[in-house]
Amino acid sequence: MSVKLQVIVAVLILFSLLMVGNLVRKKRLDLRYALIWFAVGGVVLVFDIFPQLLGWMTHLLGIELAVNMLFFLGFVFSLLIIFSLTMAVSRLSEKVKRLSQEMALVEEEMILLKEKQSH
Amino acid sequence: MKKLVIIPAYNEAGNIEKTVNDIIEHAPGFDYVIVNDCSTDNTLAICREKGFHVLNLPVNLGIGGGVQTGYLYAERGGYDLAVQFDGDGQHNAAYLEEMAKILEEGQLDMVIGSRYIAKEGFQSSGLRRLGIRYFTGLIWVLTRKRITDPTSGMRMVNRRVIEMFAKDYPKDYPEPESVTFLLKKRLKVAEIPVRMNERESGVSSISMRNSVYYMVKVTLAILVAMLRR
Repeated sequence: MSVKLQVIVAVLILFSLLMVGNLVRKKRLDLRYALIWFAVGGVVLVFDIFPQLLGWMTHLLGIELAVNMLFFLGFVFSLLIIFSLTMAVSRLSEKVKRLSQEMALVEEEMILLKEKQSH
Repeated sequence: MKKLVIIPAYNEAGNIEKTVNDIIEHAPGFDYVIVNDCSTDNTLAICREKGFHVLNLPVNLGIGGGVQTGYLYAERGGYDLAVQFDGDGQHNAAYLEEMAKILEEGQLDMVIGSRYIAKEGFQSSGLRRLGIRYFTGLIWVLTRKRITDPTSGMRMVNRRVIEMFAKDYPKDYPEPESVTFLLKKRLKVAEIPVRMNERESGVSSISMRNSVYYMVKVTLAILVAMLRR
């Protein structure tokens, strides 16, 4: 990998991280979900700065081509992100359920109160 | 002794009035509350017009979330006993007093109205019966207790279980899973024979299309229930 490419990739990653950071600042992205994206950016940046690291890991795991190691890592990260999303959805659906139930109970109480007042 | 009938209703415009009248007539010792699970027909309009007591969910939660709303209501209203009673006209309110008596005298935690003890009344289709028997077998293997109708939606519980269910109740297809959890916690569950009617209008929540999903999901849910504390 040429130094030129390394610099281009590093700039792209830093730019992406800044964008994510900006979204967090503007409250359009929750920090807790941004963390995993920061982690992805950080790991890619490390591999960009030390390309020999990828070769070393590839060799260690007995994978023949470095590019396959890259695919493998990408896949693992994608799964991690999807998994964190299904957890988030479960949490949210539980909250929506509770809120709807509370709303139904409050509405019923309100109607009873109104009826009492009108008598 | 405060007793509450919880009537989950989703698109039951054709049945709800009869259901409520059945309870008022045959179970006079009970309060009732309808949980309208965001019906798309005029179930809510009918309830309001007739002055029925109704909890109206702003979004559709499915049967589990709907029934749990009723348990929350029972918990906060200080009820000693609550019973689920389908809004589709399948259940008969005439059994409620008897169920309450058995629950009290036997100091039980749950009493289930079962179609398969006396084997009278509407028995469901053959394939569904097979599925129900499979769950009976699975629960027996896991808990050594025989529940002939684990999918019955006619279930009466005491204060302790009201509080449990208000805190935590399965979202969809809740019946077999929650019975298993109670048995696992060594609570006392009994069944009495009841007759059920065939639904007159509306559709069941379990269709042929999603029956495979139902079997797999409920089997897993029962196994998970055994692992919970």
